[in-house]
Amino acid sequence: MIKILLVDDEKGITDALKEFFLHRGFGVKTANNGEDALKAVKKDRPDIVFLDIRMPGISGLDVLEKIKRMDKSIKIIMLTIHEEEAMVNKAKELGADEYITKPFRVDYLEEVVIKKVQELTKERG
Amino acid sequence: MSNDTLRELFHDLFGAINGISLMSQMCTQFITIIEEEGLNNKIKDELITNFKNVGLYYNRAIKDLESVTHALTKIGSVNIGTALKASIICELGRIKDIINTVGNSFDNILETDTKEDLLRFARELGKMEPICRSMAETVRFSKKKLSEQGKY
Repeated sequence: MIKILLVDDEKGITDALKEFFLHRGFGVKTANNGEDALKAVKKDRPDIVFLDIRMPGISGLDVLEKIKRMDKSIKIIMLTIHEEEAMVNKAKELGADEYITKPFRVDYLEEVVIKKVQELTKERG
Repeated sequence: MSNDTLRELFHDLFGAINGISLMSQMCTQFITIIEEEGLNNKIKDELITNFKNVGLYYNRAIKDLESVTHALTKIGSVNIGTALKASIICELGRIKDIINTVGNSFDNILETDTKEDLLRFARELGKMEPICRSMAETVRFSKKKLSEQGKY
């Protein structure tokens, strides 16, 4: 089963997305700050992480860097607001696999997940 | 005020709009689930939670809009702030109308067991998503104007 970790400081957002992806047969965990996100990655090794770029405490960019250091194969999809070019470029440099701007469409999130699952399948043979 | 503080305020406003949009989209998802799988208490509870969350994000959007316009006044961009506020308040008014329409039948929904009532409830909340897209466009337009003036 493909495992997804949802990281956003808004619990309402992670709860809603959790239900969305659970209903589609994914394993889903959530975290509402950077520290918990890193703990969840260490414990559960998700395949895909949705990561809010701006969060209080450890920023999304720091979390991204640390996750990629732990396991480069984890696909990380950054959630950002429009035109944060500098941050998006920094995220790409740090190895982000995709970025999606808010407000997002859930069917687009699903499309991106399917694409990432296909990439993972290819990479893992 | 630093550019970074202004960015944080815009980020918060986008976050509130994103919250309303997501709750609305989830309601649209429930329409398909109810139609395909029928009604169950879990879906009913989630619909009600989504409705409550819409109210919370709506209140936050009002507050965040106020913070953004206040910040724009402080940096001498009163015109951009006034135009942004007028437009977003109008769109949030449409959101409020939907909340009121749904809220009026909320007590009935809590007691209802009929599929049709819940579908109606979900369809009404689903109408918020395009309004959110429109609000996001308006906010982006304001940011673009600020960027052109070197203030973002």
